[in-house]
Amino acid sequence: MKIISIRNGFTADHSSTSYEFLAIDRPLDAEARAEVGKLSRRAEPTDRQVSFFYQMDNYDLPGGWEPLMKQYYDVMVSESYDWWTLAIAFDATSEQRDAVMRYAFRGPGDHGVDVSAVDDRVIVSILAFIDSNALYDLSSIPGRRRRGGGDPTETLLRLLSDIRRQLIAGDYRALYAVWEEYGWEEEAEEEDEEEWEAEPVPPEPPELESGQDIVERLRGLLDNP
Amino acid sequence: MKHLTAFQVCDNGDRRAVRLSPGVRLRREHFGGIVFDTRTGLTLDVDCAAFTWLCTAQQGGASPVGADEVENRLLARLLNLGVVAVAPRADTSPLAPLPGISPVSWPTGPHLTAPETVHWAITYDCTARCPDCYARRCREGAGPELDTADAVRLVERLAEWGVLQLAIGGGEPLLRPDLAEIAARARERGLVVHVTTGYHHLTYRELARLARGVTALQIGVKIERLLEDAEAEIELLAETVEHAREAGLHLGANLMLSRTGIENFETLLAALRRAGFPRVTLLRYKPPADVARWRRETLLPYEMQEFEQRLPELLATVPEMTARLDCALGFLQRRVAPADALAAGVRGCVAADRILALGPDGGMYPCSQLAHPRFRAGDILADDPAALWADSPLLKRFRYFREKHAYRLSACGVCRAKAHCGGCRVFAHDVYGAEPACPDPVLPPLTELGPAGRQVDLARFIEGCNRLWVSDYIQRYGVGRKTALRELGKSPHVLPPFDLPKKQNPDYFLVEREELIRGIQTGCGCTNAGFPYVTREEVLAWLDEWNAGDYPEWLRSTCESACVIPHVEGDDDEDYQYS
Repeated sequence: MKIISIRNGFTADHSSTSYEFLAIDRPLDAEARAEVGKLSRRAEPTDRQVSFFYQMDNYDLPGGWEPLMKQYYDVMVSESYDWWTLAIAFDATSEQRDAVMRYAFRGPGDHGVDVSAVDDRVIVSILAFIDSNALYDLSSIPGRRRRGGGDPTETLLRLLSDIRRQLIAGDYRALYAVWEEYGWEEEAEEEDEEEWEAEPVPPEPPELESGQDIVERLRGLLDNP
Repeated sequence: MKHLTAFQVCDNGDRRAVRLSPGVRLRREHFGGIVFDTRTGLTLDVDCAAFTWLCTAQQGGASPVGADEVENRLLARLLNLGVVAVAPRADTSPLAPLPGISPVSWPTGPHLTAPETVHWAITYDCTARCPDCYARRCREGAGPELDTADAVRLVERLAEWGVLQLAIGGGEPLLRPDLAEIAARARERGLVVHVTTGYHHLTYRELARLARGVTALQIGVKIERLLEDAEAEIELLAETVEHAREAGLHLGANLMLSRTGIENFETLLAALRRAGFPRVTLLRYKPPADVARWRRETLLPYEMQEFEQRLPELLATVPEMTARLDCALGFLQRRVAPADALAAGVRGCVAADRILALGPDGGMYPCSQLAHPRFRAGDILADDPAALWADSPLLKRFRYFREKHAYRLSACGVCRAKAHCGGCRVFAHDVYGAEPACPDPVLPPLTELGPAGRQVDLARFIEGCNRLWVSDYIQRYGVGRKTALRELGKSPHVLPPFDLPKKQNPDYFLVEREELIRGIQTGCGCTNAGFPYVTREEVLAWLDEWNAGDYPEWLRSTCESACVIPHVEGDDDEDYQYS
């Protein structure tokens, strides 16, 4: 039961797709920057960061964003048609990879957590709606009388960097928070009970005080209209 | 822990039903069905199970959706897209039995039961004399245009057939005084009507009258006029945009990517932005009747490649406008991942597959660019359109071009974007050839290329080289010597050395194009020191000219003798008066 394709109509619904990548562990050397720069004439990769912006229907990053995360970058924020992808990549042992895989799920609205692994690189992507007011508040510069002033994308990149540190340390509370927002527990109808096979539920991580603010920051941003 | 179900869209977990939104049409097809929102033009292809579910929502106003994960996800998506809506409490009713949704009732494929969109050149008449007009060449072999009664009969036929959209163009369709009447009839019968006009200026009265039947209006921008007298033209266009908004028409501009259009692209975009267009559709430069004009205005592949690279940057200068691409420019989307293209409904050439073109006399053609006696499949009024659609060898030839052997051997046939681009068949040699304007087909890795793919790559690899060593071929493609010699022996791009003894395998091959260039240079003579009088670049320019900038072969015989269109004094459409 699925939608095979969706084609926009004559309504001039303006839309765009943007990407912001950040390298945390290893800055990009000149050769890597040149490779990344080949993807778009407008891209100006620094040793840590690069942005892409596409305005045309069906124009997108050639080859997709995953290869860049696999090879060069550690966190990425992408927004398309109000749909956000927050991606985190890190080198992982097979045990770490298996542990993260248990948090992969898709909710009813296709929100959720995707996990993919290529060799020893794990890419975790959170698919979500973001509450723009909450993001605006979170991006506010402290000490200012008025809200706002900060860059929302930078805010998200910083948050993802913090979450990445937690994931590397085996702390999956942030992914569990996404499950709590978008996941669901299915209940069998009585007559189906015998054949019922419930969707696996991610393991509930232990409660910790340290780092809980990071989880709460993420939880505050997730929107479920 | 939250418990989410399909019905949590309603407050307090109240299980209210969903139903199909008003204005959404369903059409059953072999894969499931097409869902078309007449209010927005949104078009979905859905599978059989989803289509059955939507039929239920349409018939009963009640939903069979339970707590199943897949159904929940689909429901959320459909609600988000506006295809279904939560029914008012009072409308909740028990499920109605659904006759005719058993699996045996699905149409047999593999083609659609009817086109999604019919493009109808309602008239070839026009007073504008635009130098790049292609409709002028379509007149040849076309019969007289239909009168009002037959035009309405045509609309009835399309509606009965299940066509969803009718795109009316020309010529200049607004020259027909009965256009509004015909469009209104089409809307009554459930068709969404689009009209493309060349008029820059239309009054509110004219547009309001059109809006009774027309949903979307595209204005074909006259580039020369917009460049010559920018301020005046922008003012006219801005007024039309304003009136169209007031009349409730969706409005867009068509911008032709001729050489002049591309050289002035930024200026033109800025002008359209100032005029207030919410949407611009970029059209490929189509072959006009005037071959000389074509040679001047068409782009060479490397120029297209340069433009392609600049395009996102240029569009960023008009962030409030949405840009779309003509299907003939499908190759500009060749780098989109095939799965993403499928999900976004990007299908490249859909001639005789999703679209059908009609001439002013009701003649049926695979696409509006192929309105030519050679490609006439029948007559929409005289013949049974559904039977022709299903069985016409000509329509099938275009619909299934990707499956033909000759196509699979072409550059388009080995390109990874084959399914969502395929190359425009108007420009391709003999229907099945490669798209000549595509600068860079997306090939699989070299060692995964088959014989056809290797020939495509070889043409690029040897560009500018005089000879190709067999060992280089072996190394590049990871094939054995026997395969290399066999493939190079048959290759259209290389020749064995002229002085090769009989029964001896060559170690290298000569590059045919370079041999041709050298031959021409030698024929033109050389200085005493042995330098040719004619440079390589000059010969290349001659060859390009000789190839007429890839003017389609099938059109050459018709248009080779055409000359520049004479300008008739006072014949321009200064101010259109729509009666």
